[in-house]
Parts: sequence; C-alpha cells; structure tokens
Amino acid sequence: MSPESEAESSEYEYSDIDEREAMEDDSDAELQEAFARGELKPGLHVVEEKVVKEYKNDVNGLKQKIEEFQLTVPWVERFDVTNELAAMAPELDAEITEHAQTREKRMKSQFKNFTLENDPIHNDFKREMTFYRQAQAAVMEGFERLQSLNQPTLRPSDYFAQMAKSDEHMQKVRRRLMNKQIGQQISQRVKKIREIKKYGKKVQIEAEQQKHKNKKEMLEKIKKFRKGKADTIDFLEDKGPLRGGGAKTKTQLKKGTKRVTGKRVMKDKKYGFGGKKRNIKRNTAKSHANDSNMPAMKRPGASNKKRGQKPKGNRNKKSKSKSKF
Amino acid sequence: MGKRKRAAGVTEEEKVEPPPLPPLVRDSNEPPKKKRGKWTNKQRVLVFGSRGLMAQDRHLMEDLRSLMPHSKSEAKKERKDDLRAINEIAEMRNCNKCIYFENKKKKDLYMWISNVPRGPSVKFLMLNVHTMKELKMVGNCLKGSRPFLSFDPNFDEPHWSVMKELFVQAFGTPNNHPKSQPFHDHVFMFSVLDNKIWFRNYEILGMDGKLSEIGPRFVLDPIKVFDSSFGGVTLWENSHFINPNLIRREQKKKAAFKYMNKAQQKEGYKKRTPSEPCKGDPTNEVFETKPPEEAGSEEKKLFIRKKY
Repeated sequence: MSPESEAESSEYEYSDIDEREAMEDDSDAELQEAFARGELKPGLHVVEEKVVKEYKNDVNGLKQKIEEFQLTVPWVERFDVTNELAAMAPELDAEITEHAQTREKRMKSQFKNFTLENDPIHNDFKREMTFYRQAQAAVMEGFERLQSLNQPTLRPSDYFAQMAKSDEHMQKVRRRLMNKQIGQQISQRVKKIREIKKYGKKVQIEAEQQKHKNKKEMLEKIKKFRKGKADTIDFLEDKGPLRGGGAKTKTQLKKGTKRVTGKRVMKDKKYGFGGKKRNIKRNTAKSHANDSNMPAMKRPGASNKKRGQKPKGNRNKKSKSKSKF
Repeated sequence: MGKRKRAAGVTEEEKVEPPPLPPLVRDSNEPPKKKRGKWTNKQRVLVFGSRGLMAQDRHLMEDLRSLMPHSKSEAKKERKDDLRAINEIAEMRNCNKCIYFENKKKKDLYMWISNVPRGPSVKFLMLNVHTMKELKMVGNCLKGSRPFLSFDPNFDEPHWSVMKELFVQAFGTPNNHPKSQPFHDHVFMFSVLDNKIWFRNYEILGMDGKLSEIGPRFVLDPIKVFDSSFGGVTLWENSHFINPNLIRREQKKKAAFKYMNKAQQKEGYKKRTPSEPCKGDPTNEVFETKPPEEAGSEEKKLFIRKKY
C-alpha cells in the first residue's frame, strides 16, 4: 500500500461509511447499465434483488391429513372443548383492577414515563387471567355435557387415591404459602406502626406549638399588667406553672403507683428527701455569719499542750493525724 | 413404640378406602359382574427424549408422564441417530403417538409430536417452561384422572387444527383406561396467542369453575408441520418463527457494535480536538479600543496628550 492510499484510507475511516461503501460497490459501467435498464432512481445507487423466503402452507394437504388421522369417536373419548372466554367474574375483575393500581402506584414513583399498557408484568397478569377464563368456560361446558351423559364429574372430597403431587410436596407448598402470609402480616404491621409514629410526631409538634403560644399570651398579659392596662393577674393562678406541666403530671402518676413503706418514710425524715442536691455543703453568706457550728477559738499553746501529750495507744493515731488539718 | 405404630396404622386405614373385594365364591348360574366400561380408544404415547436434556427438561418430561397414564417411557436416544428410528422404537413399544424432547446447545428445548406410523408430525420450540415441582403451582389432582382439553376458537385454521387433533389424541387420556381415575379434576388449556400455543394445567376446585394451577406450563412455538412421522414433506412452515440462534447472534452483534462505536468515538474525538489552543488573527484586535474611562495604566497613555 502506498503512503498516499494509506492516507486516503485513514481519511475515509471516520467519514460517512455508507458513502464509501456505495462508492466501492458500484462501478460506472454497472451504473450505466442499470440506468439503461431504467432501474436507477434518484437517490438510489444499487438495485438489490429482494429475496423473499416462501413459507409453505399447503392448505389442501393439511386438510387431507386431518381427515386421514382424525379420531371419529364420541365426545366422551375425546374430551375436547372449544370455547370462548368465560364471562368475567366480578372478583376477577376486581383482582385485575387492584393489580393495575398497585403496579401503577409502585412504578410511577420510580419511572416517569411508565404506562400500564407497556408494563410486561401487568400484561402477563392479564394474559394469565384470559387463560384462566378460557379454562373456566371449558370446565363449565364439560361438566354440563358429562351430567347430560350421566357420568361422574368432580372428585368427591372423600375419594382418596394417589395424587399427581406427593403429600410431602404439598406440605412444602403449604409452608411457602404460610410464610408468605406471615410476611405480609408483618409488613402490614410495620407499616401501621410507622404510620402511628408519624402521627405521634405530629401530635407532639402541635403540643409544643400550643405551649409556646400559651406562654407568649401570658407574657403579653404580664406586660399589660405592668404597664397598668390590666387590673388583675388572676390568670397566673388559673393556670399551672408554664414549664413542666406535663412532667408534673407524669411524676404524680408515678407517685400514685409507687408504694411507700414505713422504712422509707423514716429514712427520708432522717436524711431528707427531694429538693436541690447540689451546693448543699457550700458556704453561703448565711452560713458564714452563723458561727455556732464553728469550733471555738483556742488559746495559743492549748493545742500544743495537747500535742505534747503522748497518746496512750495506737488507737488515737488516726484521730491525731486528722486533727492536724 | 408398639402403641404408636398401631395408632399410625389406624389413621392410614381411615384415609384409604378399602377397595371392594370380589366375593370369594360365585355361583355358576350367576352372570359375571359387569365391568366399569369398555376401553376402546387405545392411544398409547411414547414420551421420551434425547441425550443432553437439561434437568428442567427432564422434570417436564416426567411431569407429562405422571399426568398421562397412557404414556410409556423409553431410554434416552442418541442424538446422532436418525429421527426416523423413533418410529421403530415407538412401534416396538406398541405406541401410536410420540412426544419426543430434544435439547440443542443446552439452551433450546425442542418438542416433536407425531402420529407414529403415517404422520403428521409437528416440531415445536419450547419456551418459558415451568415444571410441576415449582412451589408457586398450588393445585393438585388425581394421578391419572382424565383432563378436559380446552381449545380457543383460533384453532380453526388448517395448520392449527392439525396440531389440535394431535394434542387431543396425545394428551387426552382415553376413556376407561385401566390406569385412569373415574373423576375429572383438572383441565389442560391450549390457547393460540401471538402465533404460539400456550399450555396451562389447572385443577378444578369446584363445580362453579374455580381453578388453581397445577403445572407444568410452557409455550410452544411451532416450526413446521410434516406430512409423515418425524420427517417427510413440509405441509406448513411458520413465517413468524425466528431461530433462537439468530436472536442470540443479533444480540451478540449489537454488543460488539457497542464496543466498536465507543472506540470509534474515542478516536474521532482525539482527531477533532486540536493539540494547541486556537491562535486567532492578530489583525482582528486592531480596532478594539477602550473608552478612556476604562483604560488601565498602560492604556491610559494613549489618551494623554504629550506636551511638547
């Protein structure tokens, strides 16, 4: 390949492929011939002969074959029923509409351009329903014919014989159905709980808002009273304390339920109960002024004298070391 | 232990109805007891497959056998043997119908239904197979009870009616077949939709026509109807049939083009984008001037009149 042609080919590589192919395919002579034959039309480069595959359909042969091998026996031997679909039962109709609704609801949230006509799953369901109805119609007609021939129809419930599916297999089927049902129930319950929670949250927010509103109102009233616009402050006595109203009721409830023993009462009397726990041991101005609990001032040397005393035993060692401080 | 065993035995006895025993003695002048009925329609169907069937295909075959008391089984056939050998096998097994399964490439299941000595025979591609073992199929029926065969009105056309006749003779259990049951508690449904035959098997729950599916379920895509058994002149050919190999090939091709397109686009992008930033014509900027208010320090000089 010469370098020129290479460059040419590389140019072609990304240009319109159709054009290049067309140029390769038909030479001038061919085109002229085609034009002479009148096969060339504007915009057409090459006329291809369309090969149409012929599919065999020998109707006469088929009919002859049917006549040849058809069973001409009474219906009881053949048991075939040809029929249209059975009338749509209301429960079937309801089932289809329900399926459509649930499908639409679920899919519309995910895909914007979802249409029920193009949904393969819903179409599948509808198709199965048509099959069901066809079989249903066949069964009705078949039973009618059997009854007219005085033949036994449906298996009585007390007729036991070997079944197509074993008991073991049917147990499995039943278990699966049960599990499915249980799963559905659980999911329903969870859904309900979720909804209740949502509602509870709403209620909580509302209560909070109400509380804020009350507080605001009261503050306004107090302001008015201060300015001398209102005469009374009765409203303060009407309502309970602003904060912890709910909490108080809760503790009250708890108190009501709690049993108080005599021992508890005594202990409470002795050590105290309730009230503020922190800063009890801190000095305040009052405690500072009150010196009744303070140890008396000692003469200088008094303590020395005491110190000088020898302890009688090891018993007092601890107390001595404490008194240092 | 002994007690338990006895108890279990009692419940079993309660479940199974004792068959009416024939009297031990029969007088010579007493007429012989009348039989239930005459078994006249002696259809026997050979249900078997070729080597290389997959597990699901085998299960389907066994399901059909269990639903059809008039069926007979046979060992797997070697694939390289001629299909016409099946005729001899069927004749040896005393069968006048044959349902033959064949798996190709471990992917496509084909089914033949044939009227053995003289034909016709039909070849189908099987699609969407579900067996009876699937737990979604809730129904159950007596083993060997005779099914109703439900066809939809589309089976009127000649080629469909040939198939219908074959189905009736192959799938329908003959009346008073010794292995059959006297009651009818399931129905085979054949429906033509989208140029294919859809098969369903339903249990009949009540006289009002409530049903529940037993299985198996499958779709038959007919390919050809032949004049004789397993071969012969083609009477009908399905124009809507697309070979599964072709479908797979097209899919592969599509995937291949996807890569090629991507590679091409990448190359093209590389070619189109210049390596250096574009250099414009310097003379273009000659007439671009700034008003004196916006002029910067250097540009300001333009507007300052020099004093001589």
